[in-house]
Amino acid sequence: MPVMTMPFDATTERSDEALLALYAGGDRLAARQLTERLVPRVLGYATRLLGGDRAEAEDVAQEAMLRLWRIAPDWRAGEAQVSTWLYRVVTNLCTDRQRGQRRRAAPMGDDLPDTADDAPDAAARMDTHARLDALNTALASLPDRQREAVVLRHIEGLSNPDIAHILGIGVEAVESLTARGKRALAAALQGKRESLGFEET
Amino acid sequence: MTDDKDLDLIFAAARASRPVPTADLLARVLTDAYAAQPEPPALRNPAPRNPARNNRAPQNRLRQAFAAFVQGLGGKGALAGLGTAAIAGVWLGYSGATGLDWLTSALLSGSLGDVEMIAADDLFLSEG
Repeated sequence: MPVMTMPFDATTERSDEALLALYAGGDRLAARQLTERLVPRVLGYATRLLGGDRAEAEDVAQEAMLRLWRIAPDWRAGEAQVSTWLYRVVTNLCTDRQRGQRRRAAPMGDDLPDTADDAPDAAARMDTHARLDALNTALASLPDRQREAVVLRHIEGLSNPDIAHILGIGVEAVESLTARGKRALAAALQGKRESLGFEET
Repeated sequence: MTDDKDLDLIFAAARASRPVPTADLLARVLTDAYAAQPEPPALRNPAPRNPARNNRAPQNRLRQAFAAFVQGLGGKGALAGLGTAAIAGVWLGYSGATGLDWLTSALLSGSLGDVEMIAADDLFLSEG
């Protein structure tokens, strides 16, 4: 007879907004769940915007989450999504840091998974490493707005209206930024197909 | 030149290798969360009241209930009118309504059937 299983923790299905309301009401478990859910997203986005600088990205992620904790009691449900709000905060924090100190792209080695169990073989891992390294370098060469739009669209997977809301611009401007950003990335990666593991056609 | 397909592969690799937060970062964020978290609402256990006020509590409740009753009737003026009417009703009941016997007997005997509501002389005189 098959054994019926129950969800391990039903609260994991709660929305970010619902968890934030619980947090504001003093629920410590909600704080932990929001941390586990949102920090990877925030850290990933900050890392891409900051050219792979992991230490700087961690600082940005911590600061963005701190702002979320502080605004939680005054959060108005239905006015904005928590994730969209966080992306906007991270964008602004990264812009501020980049204005203050332009940094060279750091190596992406620490961004790769610690274990290689999911990589097919060493050559593939090297290709992935090389591609991410090249992507970070190419992204760092883009203007801020293009980089933000490309990362949000093609890496974070957000919709154009959400990106427009995060960047405070129109949807058409987002489409223009992502198109120009992709062209600029393609140009920056020109001549590197073979070194990135792409076969010549 | 790198084409869209290559770019898509690179983007896919980036999506698949999202940076994993260290335990130290998660701990720092969680520490911030607990430090900034509002206190949970206190349990609804009211503190002991002043004993003197406690002794008056039943009287206060009666007074409040009476005030609500008066307001329901329409206020103090309505209550005064209602009281007067009640006293008058009691007085009529005990004193006996002997003054109305003529009306009762007249109704039962039918002698009031010929009462003219408008006098015929008045109609005649009104024509001029």
